[in-house]
Amino acid sequence: MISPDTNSFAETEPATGSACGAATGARAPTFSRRLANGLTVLVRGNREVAVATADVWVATGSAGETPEISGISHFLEHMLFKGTENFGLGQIEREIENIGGACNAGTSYDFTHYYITLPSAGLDRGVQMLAEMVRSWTLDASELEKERGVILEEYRRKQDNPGAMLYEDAYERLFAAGPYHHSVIGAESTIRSITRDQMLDYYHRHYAPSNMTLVLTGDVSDEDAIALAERHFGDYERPYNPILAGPEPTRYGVAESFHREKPTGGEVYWALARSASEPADSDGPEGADFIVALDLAQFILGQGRASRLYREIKQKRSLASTVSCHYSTMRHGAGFMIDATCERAKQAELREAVEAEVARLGEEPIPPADLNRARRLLTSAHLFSFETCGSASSQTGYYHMLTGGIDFLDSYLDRLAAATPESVRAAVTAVLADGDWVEISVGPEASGEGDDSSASTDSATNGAN
Amino acid sequence: MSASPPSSTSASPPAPLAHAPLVRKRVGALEVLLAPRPGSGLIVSQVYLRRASADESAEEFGLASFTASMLKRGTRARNSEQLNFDLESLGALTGHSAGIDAATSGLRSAADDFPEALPIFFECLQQPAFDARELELERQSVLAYLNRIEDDKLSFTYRHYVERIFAGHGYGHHVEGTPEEVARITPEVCRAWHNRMYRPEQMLFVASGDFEVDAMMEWLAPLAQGWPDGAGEPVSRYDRMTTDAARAGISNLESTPDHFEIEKDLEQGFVVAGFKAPEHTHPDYHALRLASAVLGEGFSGRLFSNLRDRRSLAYAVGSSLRSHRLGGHMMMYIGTQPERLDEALAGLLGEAENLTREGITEDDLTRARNYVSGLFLMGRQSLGARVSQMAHWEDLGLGADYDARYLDDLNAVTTEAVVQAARKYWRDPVIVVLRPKS
Repeated sequence: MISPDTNSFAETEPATGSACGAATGARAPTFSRRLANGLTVLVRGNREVAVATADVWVATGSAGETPEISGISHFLEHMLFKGTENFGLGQIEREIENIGGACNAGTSYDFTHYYITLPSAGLDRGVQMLAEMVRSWTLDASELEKERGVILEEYRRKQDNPGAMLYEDAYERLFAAGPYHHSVIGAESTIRSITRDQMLDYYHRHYAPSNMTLVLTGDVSDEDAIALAERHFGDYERPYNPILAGPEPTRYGVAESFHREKPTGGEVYWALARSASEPADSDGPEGADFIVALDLAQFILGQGRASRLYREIKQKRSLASTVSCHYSTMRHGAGFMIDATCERAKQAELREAVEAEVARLGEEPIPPADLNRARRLLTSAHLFSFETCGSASSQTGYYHMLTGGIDFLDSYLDRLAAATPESVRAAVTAVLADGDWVEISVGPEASGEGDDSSASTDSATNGAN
Repeated sequence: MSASPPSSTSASPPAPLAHAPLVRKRVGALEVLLAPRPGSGLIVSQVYLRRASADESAEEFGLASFTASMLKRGTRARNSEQLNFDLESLGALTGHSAGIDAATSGLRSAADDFPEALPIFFECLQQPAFDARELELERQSVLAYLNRIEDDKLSFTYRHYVERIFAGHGYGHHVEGTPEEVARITPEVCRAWHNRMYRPEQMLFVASGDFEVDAMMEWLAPLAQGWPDGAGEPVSRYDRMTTDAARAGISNLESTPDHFEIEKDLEQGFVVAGFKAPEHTHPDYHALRLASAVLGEGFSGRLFSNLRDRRSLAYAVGSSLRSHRLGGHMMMYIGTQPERLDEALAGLLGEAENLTREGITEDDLTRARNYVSGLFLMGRQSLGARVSQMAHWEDLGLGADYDARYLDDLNAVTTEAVVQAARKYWRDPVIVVLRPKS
């Protein structure tokens, strides 16, 4: 299960090694406690490291926005670093970096989170700083205007990145209506128009303890973690009063082709995407087992050099220079996407070959060796994804935001072990068999395809425009 | 914003992590460094080859990187498909790449699967097939990658910057080569490079994770004999450097300011600017490391605070000190709208100049030191980062167990040393501007 793209507050430090942590840590259950004010606290201790992460997750993101304030969750995420009742501009970051910590934040469709990783001796101060940001935030009008300029630069940066534009276009068209239709960063017009009053209103409605989860990982005990949470968040009271009473139903785009003309180094960035929501009348695995089955399908099909798409598309037929498969689950929808970079002239043949491989996965029995390979890779990736406390908090918080609980995370390895070739095939058949793909490409037109417009859409059949 | 935060000058530096002692062993000619971490359930290993891009002659540019990539494309015993299927069926991930000073091959897996994956990993290193069809596929892949660099502003601008900051030095050519250099690579030259360079006496094997030393040595013992016959590379890489000054180190090269502009069809422009810097083992290194941190690392670095927070000039802005065996550079970067590109460039250079002219405070130094120390400790959580760091420091002659002394070296730096180092090296900037077409 690949987490959706987030818009990070700032450039992050490059990764210094592989993700994740101790196998015992990954296999250990998550400690969970709900404080009296409604704040959920999740703890995954790993006392072998002398660092810890404190990570506050707010269960609101772009999916909770109305169209006229599209991008406000992300904008607010930036603004939370701009001062509180007790700390001026830049002082919180300086305080954190002064004790050897690093902070950042991210916004996605269903959540926003703020995190600090630091030597564990400073964890109390780190949690205090997080609490200061989310509880005692103040919004200075001039800082809002200055940060608007920063976000517009972030927006422009994305426009120049064909890979990022591919995902933006794919999500906009796959989620033709509903909570995931609008991009997380918003439109240029809404970034320019969001007001101070709108932001204050949005903040007060959504940044309530009952809508938050505090995740603590690394060098901290369960008892100490709860004590820290009580000390810095225990007396935090604010009612949760979301702008939207509930999500608009997700409506998926189908059978559409869209090309955005954009100069690139030569290739087009290409994707096929479609709904991967669990159907109500499926005969196959259900709930968490359905998600695990599609995780496995993703790896059989398009993760790793021995995956089917890699072998067929890259090795045998040289149809693309990169190809991979991604399964994204959100709270109110899911998408299955195959992306590639290829010559524009090979795009049609690439699509045909990809569709044939997906069809084969649903039609033919899955050899046990294929399932074993996918299972072992996923197990290894899961274990390694708990190696650092930062990665462990991301995993823990993300799964909690997605499912509302900890059972999925804690049972993930067991569910992987229990999956069968039949369960994977049944899940694939349930969602991927009908050929209703949204096709997206970003890049130059093929020679002879002159088109004055910057984007063209063919054969839209389900209102994706 | 009514009250100030408590004074932070008293912040104490982060304490080092405790780790099990490092064990040094040898398997035949292969030097082995082991750092067990019991209970983790995982093992990460790396073969660190002290031969790479800097060892290439002009006719060989791109060859170290290309040969490393070919190691995943089949062995004499298994074709590419079988090799990758066998490794992935163990949940094992491998990677092979070459940098400027070293080529690395990595293997990571759950501890239970490691003994079975290790011989396959060594098979890649010892018996690569260099199959002609696989080589063509790799060539296509590298050429496509070189094209995709055009689509990433930082990578594209940085590539031009590296050519200029290291002009006249072996470091100035690109590790992956140019399309023309990649086009001339054949199975024969890969094989010859492999026979000459992939010698156990030129390697380190480093592993960390959930294993016992004796068990790891048992797993390695039968693999010691698998190396192909060959004489190895008798010539030190530094003999291949183009000038005496280059051999002595980057910071001894003549310094010349350079300003290069490229136009592309873009919404946002990008600037990379920087200065030559000494190698990691140079006495000025740590002072410069902290000068970079004061200037542009973290959210309270001056570039972020002054250019992003106060002037809204950019989303992406910062600085970074990059160090290789013979030296490196301190680069600054910023991306902004076309109308403010010149202002952004002036902002980068102005902040660097302000630091050299006005100096830094004790608070600045404390923040920078603790920030860098904290990053160092956080980076050491993962086994992969640990083995990479051990191998790198061992290769530099600092010793794989340099960790504790690293923090001591940082703590010994004074504000005066930071400013002196910045004044010494931050002269004659090399600037590359990627400017949107008007």
